[in-house]
Amino acid sequence: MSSAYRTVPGLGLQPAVEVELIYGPRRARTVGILDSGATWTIFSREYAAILGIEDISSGRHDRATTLGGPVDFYFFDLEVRLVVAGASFSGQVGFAAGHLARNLLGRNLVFSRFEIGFRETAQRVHLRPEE
Amino acid sequence: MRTNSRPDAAEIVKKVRARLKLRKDRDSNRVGGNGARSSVQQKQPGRETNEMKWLVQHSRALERYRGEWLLLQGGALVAHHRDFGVLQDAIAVRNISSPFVYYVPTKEESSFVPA
Repeated sequence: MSSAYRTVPGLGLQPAVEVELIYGPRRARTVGILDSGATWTIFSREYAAILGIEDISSGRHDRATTLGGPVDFYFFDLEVRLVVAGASFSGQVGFAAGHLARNLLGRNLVFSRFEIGFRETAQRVHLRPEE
Repeated sequence: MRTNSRPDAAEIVKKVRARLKLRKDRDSNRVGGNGARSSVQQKQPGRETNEMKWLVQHSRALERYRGEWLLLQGGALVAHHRDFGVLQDAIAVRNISSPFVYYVPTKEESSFVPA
């Protein structure tokens, strides 16, 4: 399937897709940016709160270096649903120790399950589940 | 000179059956199958929810809420605030089972280039 880039507030035109995070009985929906340069799939810590994760430091800790300096992440096993693809899968999702201005769908979770192509001239992203 | 060694019909049937079995096994490992190779479960091509459509349609107007959290429900913005706790309260009051929440980056955050 393919999806047109989406214009989202504050970020403009992006390869943005709607995602739903599922943790036990709790759910949250938001926008994620498909980012082949991101190693991990990461969300701002506020989404962990919606999912009922009171103490994110109970997750598996890892640290990444960004332009803004080192950022701590805590990983949890979640189910992720890519709404436009009609697909869901389980995997490790990281929550930043601090606030993140955008949620990134990175290689560890999304790109390892789909063949993803960006057609920049048409401003479309193509997703095909890995066989 | 060609030899007339035509394969036995039973042998052909056996090969075709083996090939079909191979294809069936492969398909069961694909999305939507029961195989363990891929954990992706795909029901059918999805559609964006009303909240996502509304967010995109009103993207420009929502720029005024930079630095704020938005809570969308159906085709409406039902809460917005810089303090995320306010949205958590709104989610609880409205008893939304799968809230659609979006943070509008500030101008400084928008121009950030990911590493």
